[in-house]
Amino acid sequence: MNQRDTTYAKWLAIVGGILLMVAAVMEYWPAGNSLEWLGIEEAKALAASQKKPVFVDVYAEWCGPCKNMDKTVFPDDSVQLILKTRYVLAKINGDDPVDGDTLRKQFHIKAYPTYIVLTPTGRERKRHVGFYPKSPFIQWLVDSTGVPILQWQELDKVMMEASLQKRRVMVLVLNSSQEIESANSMFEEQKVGEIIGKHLVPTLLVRSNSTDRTTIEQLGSSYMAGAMGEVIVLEGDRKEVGRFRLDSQMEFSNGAVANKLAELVAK
Amino acid sequence: MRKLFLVELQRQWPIAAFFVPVAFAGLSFLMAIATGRMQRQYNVAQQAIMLGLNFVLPMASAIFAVGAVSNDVKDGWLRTLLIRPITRQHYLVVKLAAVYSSFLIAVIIGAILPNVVTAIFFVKTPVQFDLAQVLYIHALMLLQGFLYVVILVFLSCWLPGVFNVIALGLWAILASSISSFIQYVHWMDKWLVILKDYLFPSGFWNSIDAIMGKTGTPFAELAWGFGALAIFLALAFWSIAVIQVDKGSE
Repeated sequence: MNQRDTTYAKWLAIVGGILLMVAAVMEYWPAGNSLEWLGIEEAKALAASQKKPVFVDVYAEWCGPCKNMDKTVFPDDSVQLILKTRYVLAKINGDDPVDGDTLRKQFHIKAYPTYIVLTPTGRERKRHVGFYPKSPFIQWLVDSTGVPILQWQELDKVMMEASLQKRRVMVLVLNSSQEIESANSMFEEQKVGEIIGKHLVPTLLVRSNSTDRTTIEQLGSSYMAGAMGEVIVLEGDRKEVGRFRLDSQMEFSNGAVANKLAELVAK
Repeated sequence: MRKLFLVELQRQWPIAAFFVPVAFAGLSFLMAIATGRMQRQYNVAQQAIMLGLNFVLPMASAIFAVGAVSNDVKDGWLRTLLIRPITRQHYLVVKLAAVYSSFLIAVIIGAILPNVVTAIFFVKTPVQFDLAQVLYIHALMLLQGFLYVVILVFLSCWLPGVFNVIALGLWAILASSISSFIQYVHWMDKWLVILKDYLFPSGFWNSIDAIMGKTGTPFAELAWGFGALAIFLALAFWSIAVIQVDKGSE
């Protein structure tokens, strides 16, 4: 081989060129199956039968970030794979002249796009507002870490169970499903778990969840700015024992929730 | 070739260079322990990305590949080699091997070991460890590192001293800025949106997203990574063949 030989360079350039073309074709070849979006009621019914969560995309025709998501994020293979295999998909046009207004109120929509994940039973699990870049969006979609507080039963069932077991009811009211992860970590603390296990039957209500809103109003819980929500302890006959405000600082102060709960249990 | 490799490796490690992996290891330990204390779960794969991909990888590739070829031309070392029965291509292969070996040592000591040791001995919260995911991430991280080394060596054929590192840094910043601009201003233009993913060779890096999201094998991203690697290797081999080393040295 002479000093000026460029044989390696030529072969490597050919291989590189082919691979780059393969990459471009694979990444931007139109997806074989586009996503199948349903109406919200249809999606909820299907989700209940298939026991899958519902991914709800609330958009508007005029919304730039919504179009940006449609062009750059939703066509991605990984995003499509996750959405198709793990979710039932629903799309809501927030400006729809027929039911846009009702659906906007039902889902507490303040901006577009809003992405909401509902549990198979139709309860709000989490939401994101605004454009979501591909990588964090994938992380957000695949996040399937256990969230025990979502397994807590509904208030009616909890009231019955509490009166049978002669315990009190603990109602955790959250302002938004965006708070569920943080609240879950607070209630996973060992001390809190012990108090609940011994003295209380817990339930979760989320203000942005339309099905929970009436119950929250009946409990006299109003929106508190700057707070995650509140915790209300009730007797079996729905008589209030006490309540305390739940704020994000409590997540970082060890034992704060446990101490407050212990006070209410001792009352 | 083996002798030449050992000589090149020795040249990569003057006494001062031994402080590089040690300093990386110290900083990585501090970061890993701090993260372990702040988070409720210590995710080994996430930490590998934070310590390796975001921190040690760019720094180590820059430190060991700075002026890789240009300094050898300037101080006459390449000329000395070429009067022996060594071709320019052999020199390039050995140079890449020596720089990459040094980079590997720095990454293992500076990022991988602190992560593993912290996970085993210093974290009280639960440790999340998925062996396949961790292995994939490290393989992709080392491939991305090799790509950086190849690009820096190629640039060093044409730019003097530290300018190969500066050029790569400026390229990364420029690509990221243009990409953001396209994302938010020209999102309607399909071809610009396609182009923006190809402004910087980050195929292996992008593959890590897919591995973390457990969304199957990222064929397109891997093809982009290996394609870019082959192209820059081609450019490096072409450059080493055509640059002026010294008249009469061959």
